[in-house]
Amino acid sequence: MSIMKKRVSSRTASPAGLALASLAFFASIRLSQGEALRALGGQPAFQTEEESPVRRVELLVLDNGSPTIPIGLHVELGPGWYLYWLNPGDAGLAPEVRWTLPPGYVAGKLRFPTPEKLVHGDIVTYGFTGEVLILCDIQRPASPKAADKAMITAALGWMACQESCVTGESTAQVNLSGLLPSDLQKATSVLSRFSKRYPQKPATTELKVRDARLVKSSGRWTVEILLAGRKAELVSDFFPYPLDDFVIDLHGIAISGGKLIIPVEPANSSAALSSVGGLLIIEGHGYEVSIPIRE
Amino acid sequence: MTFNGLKGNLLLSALCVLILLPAVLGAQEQTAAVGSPAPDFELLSIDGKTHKLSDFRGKIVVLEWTNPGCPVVQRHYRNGLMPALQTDCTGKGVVWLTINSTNPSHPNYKTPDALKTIYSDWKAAFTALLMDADGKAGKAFGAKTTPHMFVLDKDGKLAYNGAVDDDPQGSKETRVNYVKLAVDSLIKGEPIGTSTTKPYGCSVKYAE
Repeated sequence: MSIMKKRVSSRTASPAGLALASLAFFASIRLSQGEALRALGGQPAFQTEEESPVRRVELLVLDNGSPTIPIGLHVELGPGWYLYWLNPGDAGLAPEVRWTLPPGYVAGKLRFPTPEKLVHGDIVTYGFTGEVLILCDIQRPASPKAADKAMITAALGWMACQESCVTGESTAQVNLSGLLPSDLQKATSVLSRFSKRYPQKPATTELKVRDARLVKSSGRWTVEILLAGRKAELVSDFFPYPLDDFVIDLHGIAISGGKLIIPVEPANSSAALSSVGGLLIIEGHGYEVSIPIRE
Repeated sequence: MTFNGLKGNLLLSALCVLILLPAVLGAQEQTAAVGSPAPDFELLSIDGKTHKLSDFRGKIVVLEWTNPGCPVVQRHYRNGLMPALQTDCTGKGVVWLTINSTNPSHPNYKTPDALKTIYSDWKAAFTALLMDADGKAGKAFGAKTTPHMFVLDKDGKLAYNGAVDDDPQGSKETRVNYVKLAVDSLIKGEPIGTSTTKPYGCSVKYAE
């Protein structure tokens, strides 16, 4: 077994950052992505960072002046590699983040940009190539102790694939009390590349659900959703969130003229489906919906 | 590589494909459905023996899609989960067929001899490891990931289709092992609580 050498690089925070607390900042964050590659026998052993699927993981602090701190986990991938969405699809594993936070701080849900749909034969997956910025709001305690070390650490567990797959873990850190103003330009630049890619809530005048029901016929269950509104006819695809107690036939998802068909298979005969969530895709943009289903 | 070398490799690859070519019998366009008769297949094992699925009628059969180049498969063998499950099931009279549908041109493809060494090192306890180089058996069952598990009842009907357990990330201290639950239910003659789950792991490396 060979394991890639660790390369941990971090930048010490500067007190000057406190004076600029209300601005958006980038904080250094280099990781130990080498420890990452739990190079198991049979997996490629990456001798250099350039060969690794995950080239860099860094934490961006997007605003350090409010009670809620928006954090971006920026992941850069090597050419040809992709990282999975929160619903990886038919194969793959969703990225998982373990936060280590100062006392009283609480991390919220991860927010992903709209992913790409990757189809290989009958296997449909959702993921990101090149780079991705995963957002998370960190809630400060009502009265944080000044003496607390304001260090935030994210350990990202990932599976990256191209022709073959690799799993690993990369760690990034940022010290909230030592953000550098010189990082602002980079932070702004990274965020600007993603700001239009996060799913939006559809305006009801543009897109709404006229009907949504579960149809059971000859052993096949399908969710049928009728969309209405100015943009209903423009919906070209649906990227579902995972469902409890149901497996979604991703290859069988079809949409035409505002009618969305989602084939599902129940885990057992008593499985009940109350709602379906995911992204309706219009001209490449994701519109986040949670749709109640009637039987 | 010289042209002669390339030609030799191509001939060798073609010969391997022919030798290992599985005869998938009765493969249907629609993939296997829980509660319905499973598709039949006839495949060569890494020991060179022919195994026909329908020959095991009267026994509970577990099918495990595998690829030793997949980190999720590696995890399940290296942490002992899969060998322990194989030992438990085969000890109860269950037939366990592990199937490799990796196509010969993929970097993860391993020869039968190489597979024998890898799975022996991993202390695998399957009944047989079968070669499905053209992927016909995998596609007939709708196998999507490695691992992807199927459990057949004694009548050859598909009783379970999905993940080995409820721990995709490998981070849980206690797991629900769906395959063990399905097998134990079939042995007791009880209904299976969970018959379909979403499998997880690497995609099966079928030929494009």
